[in-house]
Amino acid sequence: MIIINKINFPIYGTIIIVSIIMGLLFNYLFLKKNNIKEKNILLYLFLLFIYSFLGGILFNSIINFSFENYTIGLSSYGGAIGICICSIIFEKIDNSNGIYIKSAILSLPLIYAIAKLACFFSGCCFGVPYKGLFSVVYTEGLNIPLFPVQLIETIAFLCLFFICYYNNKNENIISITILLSAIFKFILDYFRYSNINVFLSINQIVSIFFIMISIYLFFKKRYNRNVCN
Amino acid sequence: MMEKNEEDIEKKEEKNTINNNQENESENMRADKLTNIANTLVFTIPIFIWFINLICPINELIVILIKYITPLSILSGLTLLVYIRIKYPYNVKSKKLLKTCIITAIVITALYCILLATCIKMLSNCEGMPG
Repeated sequence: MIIINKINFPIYGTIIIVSIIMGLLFNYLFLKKNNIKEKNILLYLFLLFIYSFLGGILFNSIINFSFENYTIGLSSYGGAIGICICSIIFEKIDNSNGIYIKSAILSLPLIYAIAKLACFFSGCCFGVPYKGLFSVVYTEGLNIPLFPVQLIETIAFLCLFFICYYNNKNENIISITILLSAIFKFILDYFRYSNINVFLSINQIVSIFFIMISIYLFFKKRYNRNVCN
Repeated sequence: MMEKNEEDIEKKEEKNTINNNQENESENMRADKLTNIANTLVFTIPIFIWFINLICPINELIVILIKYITPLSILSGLTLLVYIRIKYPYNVKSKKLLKTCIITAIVITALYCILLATCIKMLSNCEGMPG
């Protein structure tokens, strides 16, 4: 059993910043490896940072819409959507045969995996009650053994990142990464405490949307290849 | 005959130079105009909204303005700015604006961190705080 006490340190913000820096670093190295101009890479990273951050805030404001509750929070799916939109816009500005989009999509599991550690240590997004191996207790929260869903998400998305990165030459890697990420997210959302009596959470609805997009991209690529042949 | 040909070539070169200069000027003008729009989207609109927020009591319109219009305005302004930097790399005005944006972002982040650090210090000094 893992016991987590109150930490007197802004751990959530620190790990979120580390995850964004790691994502930007990955994008920088990947684009550099693919011979993109240094100046364009820096402009892209600047825009990517702003889009991921403001995307997270905007999406959170939309799904938690209320006039009374005047709070601001970050949503992982919002950040992911922001990164995707940013890469598509930048691809239109500086055409690179999809390298920007590929780099952004490949970095998403890495950013998410590290960001989930922030949730684990700060005690949010926790799992369902569970008394087995590696159960976690937040002494400042519910104070009962819980399923370590955040840790499972970190491990799953890190594995996904390495698998996708080593297969980045595959022509369908963008749709495969989106599909696997959405499926993982969809399944792991059932182990969250907040979704105990919920049939489909908003995250799961967005996951279904992403699964449909990935299937569409896969068949579009296949159709284009058949037309070319 | 040779002299005439040389004169013709010189005249053509002059014409080309004038045309190129005119094109560069018009491109620069276009870039300047776009930079002005980006400036309005990134700075003027958010500052205006913040000002309204200071003056008026919080109501539904202000919540919408802060939650949706401010981030959307900043996003579109910065996207436009990056577009100008890539399409018109020699435009000075957009280069200056981008520098200002980066410096402003760093200053705001630093201020926020200082504020956060002060708050944490204050909270850790409090004993027996309810909740």
